[in-house]
Amino acid sequence: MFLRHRGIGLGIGAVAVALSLAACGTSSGTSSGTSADAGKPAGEAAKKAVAQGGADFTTAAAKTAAMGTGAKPGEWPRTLTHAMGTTEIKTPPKRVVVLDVGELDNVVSLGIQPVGFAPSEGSPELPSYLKQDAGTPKHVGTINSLNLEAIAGLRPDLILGSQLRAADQYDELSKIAPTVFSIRPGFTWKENYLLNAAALDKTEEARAKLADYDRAVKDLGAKLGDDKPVVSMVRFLPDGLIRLYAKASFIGTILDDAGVPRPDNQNIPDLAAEVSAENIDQADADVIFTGVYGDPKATDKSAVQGNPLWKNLKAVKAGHAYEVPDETWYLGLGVTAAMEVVADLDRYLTR
Amino acid sequence: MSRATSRRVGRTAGGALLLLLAGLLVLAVLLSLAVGSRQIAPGDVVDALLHGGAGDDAQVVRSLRAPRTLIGVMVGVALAVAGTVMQGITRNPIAEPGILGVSQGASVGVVCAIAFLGVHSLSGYVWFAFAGAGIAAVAVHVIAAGGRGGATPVKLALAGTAMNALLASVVSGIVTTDARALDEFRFWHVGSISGRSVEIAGQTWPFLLAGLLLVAAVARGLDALALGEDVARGLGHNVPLLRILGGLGATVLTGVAVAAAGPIAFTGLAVPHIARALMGTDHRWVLPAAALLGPVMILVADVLGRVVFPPSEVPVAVMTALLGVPFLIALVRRKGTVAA
Amino acid sequence: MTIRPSGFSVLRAGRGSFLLHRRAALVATVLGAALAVTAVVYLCVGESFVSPTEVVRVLAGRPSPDEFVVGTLRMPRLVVGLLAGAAFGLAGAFIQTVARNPLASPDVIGVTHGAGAATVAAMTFGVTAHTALPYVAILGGTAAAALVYVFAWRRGLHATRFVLIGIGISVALGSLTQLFVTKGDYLVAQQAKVWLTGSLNGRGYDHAVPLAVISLVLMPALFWAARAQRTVSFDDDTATALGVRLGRVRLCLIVLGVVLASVATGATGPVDFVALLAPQIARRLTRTAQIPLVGSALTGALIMAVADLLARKLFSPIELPVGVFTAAVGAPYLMWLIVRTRSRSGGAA
Repeated sequence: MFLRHRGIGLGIGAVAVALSLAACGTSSGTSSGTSADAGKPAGEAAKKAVAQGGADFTTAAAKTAAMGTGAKPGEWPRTLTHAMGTTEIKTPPKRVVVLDVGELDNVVSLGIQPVGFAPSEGSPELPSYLKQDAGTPKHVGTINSLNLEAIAGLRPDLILGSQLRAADQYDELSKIAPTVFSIRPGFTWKENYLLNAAALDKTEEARAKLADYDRAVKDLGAKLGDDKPVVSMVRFLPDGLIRLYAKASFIGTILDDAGVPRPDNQNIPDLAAEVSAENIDQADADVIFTGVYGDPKATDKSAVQGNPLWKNLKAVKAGHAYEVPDETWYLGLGVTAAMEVVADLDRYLTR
Repeated sequence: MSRATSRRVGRTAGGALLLLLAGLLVLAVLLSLAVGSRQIAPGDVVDALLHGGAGDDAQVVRSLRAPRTLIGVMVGVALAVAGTVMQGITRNPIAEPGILGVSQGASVGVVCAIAFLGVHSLSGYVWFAFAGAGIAAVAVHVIAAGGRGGATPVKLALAGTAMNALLASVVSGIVTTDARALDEFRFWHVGSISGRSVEIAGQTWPFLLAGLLLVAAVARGLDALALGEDVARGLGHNVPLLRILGGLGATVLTGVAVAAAGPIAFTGLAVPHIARALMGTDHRWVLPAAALLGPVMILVADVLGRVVFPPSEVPVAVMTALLGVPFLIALVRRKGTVAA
Repeated sequence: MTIRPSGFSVLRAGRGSFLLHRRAALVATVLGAALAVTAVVYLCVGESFVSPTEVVRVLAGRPSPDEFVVGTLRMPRLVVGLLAGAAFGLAGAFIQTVARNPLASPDVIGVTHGAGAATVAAMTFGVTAHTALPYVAILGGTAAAALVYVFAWRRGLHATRFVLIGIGISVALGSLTQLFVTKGDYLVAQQAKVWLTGSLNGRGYDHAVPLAVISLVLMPALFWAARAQRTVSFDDDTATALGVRLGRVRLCLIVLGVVLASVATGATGPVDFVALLAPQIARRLTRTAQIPLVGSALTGALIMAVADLLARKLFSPIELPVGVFTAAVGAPYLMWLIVRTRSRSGGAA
């Protein structure tokens, strides 16, 4: 026996309560102080709002569009407004580090081979659709666990990323090189592209690429005529997660641009709706496109698709359920991926 | 367990109790078939089972809930019987595959088989699960039995904790250096009975049967052992052989449960104690009771896991731990368990 | 108190006086030197090698081309590691002293898991600020310890029961953590998973500040504890004869230990076994009956620094979580402790 008083337990409990009060006091104190300084805590608060949806979820695109630079083409140094404030870039960047797949797509499509790249945890390699033109960027950790020393060791002159992913490390990153952050990856991909292009003085090229995309996607819409099929997007993720991608996603914006109708449960201003394997019939539509994040064996894919419920779906029965590359349709967040998706859509929807 | 008295249940009373437990199991099976993120009326469930039907609801019951329930039953039987035998041969009330690190050993065996040898079918990697479970079981027991005093409950539990931590660090090292292995492993890291196909059940039962036969062979010996090693020897039992056969049975049962569902703790702890409370000390009554109660615990935990955060599902191992820990606490607080 | 055992010197400072164990002082000096060397090596080694002279220049505040890598990237991380390691070491020293049992370390009795579960829960509900998380961790760790205490109480507190209940509560809290990860947004879940591996990657001064602040606040308590610890290590009868109110002193020491372990966990994520190892190693070095506080803190800091150095460099460019190394050393040590346990099940195990 090493303690003989029951009161001690109560004592520990009392201390816990006291500390909880102290914690509340401290945390509320810091959050009220954030509005005053535009530093890191403010970034954190913003990150929170973006991650959870809320007001920022619908306005992020407009806000990102308002960012960029007033500098003329060829004018250096230039000052960029972005999600974390303003940043001056002195000379045309030559050594670029990208912190997410979207930024990778953006710079590669503008003819720049980045020197460093942080892949997602689930897909550690370079996306195969960018492999040819991306060169051999060095791995600088993963999206959620950046290796700042590796980034510093590359001596970059520009770092591109997003507030949602890396706001915590903005201070250190901006000491390594001018760092430009969009608000978030995903459905704001066009605005992010223009922001990144502004930092590289390649706005014209970016606009041209986006115009190409616009033409292609409008052509597709015209080709499909007035009687467009309803398209459902199903993605299998690890731990039994099944998502139906909705409007506020990369793929959602492309389908929207093509004027392709969506099922009601995916016609929502959100990233995705979740369903369970038992309710997979809610994924039904005229056409289904499925993707898998990471290793298919870690997901419920085979369990869902091997079961009669899936085989009973209208789209599956008609042979209109297609497996599409996850890295362009779901993981892809840039114009190169978008062009691939439009080509795939053309192939599948007009056959 | 620490009380060396024997308490027996009468033949009629025992039979009635087993019937009652069987009824409980039927209820749990029906619950597991009827409850889920999709609303299906109990009448339709029964209808789908008896008369078939091609409707969506019938398909969900037959193709998703039935295999899952079947695997839950098998895993529950295996873990509960393994726990009963482990408590019997170690004469230790908190012996259990999960706490002792045996399940974790089996799952590391499976991970290594998948990651390094490219073995992908249950009948292939189940052998690695046996090897992992066996090595972990022997190691934990040797460590706990070392020093004076032998394998006391707290030493076994601590050795198991240390084993779990060591294996977790090994696995963590593997998955950080090989990101691909991470996803493969996630499947085995947390025990779950969802997403398993009927084929898994088909590959599981022969091993389950083999394990149960081994255990049945030592049931009488376990009774004698409960009265003390000397008594068992006096009654003409070969104690080392008894321990080896029983240990082998428990290892096979744990290994096959892990191969089918991943590590699930606390079922093997709680169920044997409840079974003994109901049936007394005679293992010929305790083992069947545990075999009936184990699936009940797994299925009830799984159903709870389906309904807490719909449409996401909480893995069954998380729920058994949350249900089982209060039980462990009650057990430890009970007089006689730790005073030794 | 006028007892002065052999091997001690009396250190007088103003009105207070301390018994100073000569060997303990020597060990502390050696550990301090080892720590300084490790720290310099830590600052030299990384993605790129920085020469020790440059490191010293940066430390001295002189301009250097390596100022950023050494001063901004490696230094904060090292500071967090050292502070957290020292906190773990002290936490282990207090709790092991009171329990008179090396097995009752904060890792085993639920503190680490409680802090972890609370932190992940907070992340799930949208609290991501570094400024708030350490307090959440303290709350979780303390609550878990209180829970273990209440459940383990049965006409007194038996060390064995305490440890067993601690293991049980730890498993339950681990499951609860899993539950929060399941419930959380996928993005948050991924961040929580990275945090849960226990790593010093991406730790900066914002993580060090709460650690340092709490250490400073606790400083007077630590001086008090250093004296109190000696009385606690007497057996009950001697202490009662000396008129020491053991219950209250022990409570305070445990609370100190729990708070220190929790705040360290809040900064680094769960890093197992440092709190178990550090006091044990320190005591073997000083060869004292009682666990040396300064030695434990220094050893804890040393373990963290060395483990993180290995974690950063061994499989470079891939970084391993620091907890992998502490567990790889700590778990076998725990096993060894179990093997050589003397008593049947009472005092020691």
